[in-house]
Amino acid sequence: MEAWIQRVFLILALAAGTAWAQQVEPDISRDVISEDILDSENWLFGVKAGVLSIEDFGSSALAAVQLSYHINEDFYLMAEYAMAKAGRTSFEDLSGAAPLLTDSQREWRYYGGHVGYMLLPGEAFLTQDFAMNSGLALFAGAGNVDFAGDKVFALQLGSQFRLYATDWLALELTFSDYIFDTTILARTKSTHNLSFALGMAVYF
Amino acid sequence: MRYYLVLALALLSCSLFAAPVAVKVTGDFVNLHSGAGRGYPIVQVAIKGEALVLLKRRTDWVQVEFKQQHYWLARQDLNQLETTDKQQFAVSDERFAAFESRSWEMGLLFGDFNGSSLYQLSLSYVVNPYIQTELAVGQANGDQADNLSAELSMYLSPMPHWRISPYFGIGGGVLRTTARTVLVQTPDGNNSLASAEFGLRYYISRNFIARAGYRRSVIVTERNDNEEIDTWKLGFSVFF
Repeated sequence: MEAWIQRVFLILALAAGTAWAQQVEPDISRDVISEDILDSENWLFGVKAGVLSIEDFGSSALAAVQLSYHINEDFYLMAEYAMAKAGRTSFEDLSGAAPLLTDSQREWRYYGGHVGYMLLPGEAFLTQDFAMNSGLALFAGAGNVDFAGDKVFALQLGSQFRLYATDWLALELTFSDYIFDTTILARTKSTHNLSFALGMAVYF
Repeated sequence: MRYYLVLALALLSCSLFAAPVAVKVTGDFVNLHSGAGRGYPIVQVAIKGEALVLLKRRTDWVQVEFKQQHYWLARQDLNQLETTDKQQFAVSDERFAAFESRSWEMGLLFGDFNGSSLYQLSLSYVVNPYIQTELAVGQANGDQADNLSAELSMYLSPMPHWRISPYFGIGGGVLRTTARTVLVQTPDGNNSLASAEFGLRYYISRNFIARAGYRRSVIVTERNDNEEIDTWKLGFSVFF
């Protein structure tokens, strides 16, 4: 009998205890959400076409594809594949001698990567009340040039002006210098091959 | 049947593309820029209690829709917002935890391969904080020969929790050598390669790592003596 009463009191005490504990416990936990639920667009795919001046071989048409990854608002990494076809040297034209290179050796290919820095971000005013976002970036990198039957290491330096047509589409004007050594004329020399290209790129 | 297919596609696209998030300003105000960068001017301000829709992120910026217009909000300002379900954003600049729990790493390295310029692309899988495997493809163009190498390596990082973390490892692969001039008697061909590497990894910020390494490789040749070469490299990797 005594044990039975004790049990009743014990149950009552426990019930009261839990009810009281529920009353005083403050609800301080706040719901937290991660920013990762938002889609991120840090990749940029671009194509460009322009002119490449291959030292000693005149100027030729240039086509390139580029893939970039934006590390932050200042820096980006870019992989590039560019192609052109070299013309004839003045020597070949004037002497009437046999061509220095075969047709397939005139194919010029570059593949490499570079790091870019957005130096001057800002707005460009096209008319008095119409402004577009733009940015001037400088870049430096290196890669490989496949030209004249030879594969050589190449440095790439340049600048890119980017004009944002929409939030996801950018128009790009790129000046770049591909620096590499050639040994076509028996002696090795360092050549500067300047290019100028216009392209467009999409964020995804 | 076609309806099921459409439904399945719709479900798939929902899971692939994150949906916009409706939020309300809880801080005093947030600045809205015209572009994703500090160089783009503040063109609008959303004050306390006003509603925004978060669309997507680009680097440290979030695109928002406010009064039927699109603007960009700095990532730090997510602290000033809460969702319609009263959820707050956890914004932390310290992504070190993400660095420690990374699983894939993609890198670009430049350096010196026995006197010629080298560049290398690598893809690594981080098994656990201490062990990672890497597949690296490198190209080095020297005065006498072009070398193309592909190596599979395994690295150990004894101190993965340090910001500057040393690593070492071993690897093996193939090296393809192509002679450049007729003057040098380097036979073209594929050789096996075994290497040991020591280096440092430095977590810079976000998902960006700097890496420097020294690798010593033994090229197994058909001649009586094996050739040994040194590689120095420096570069970056991005982790996912």
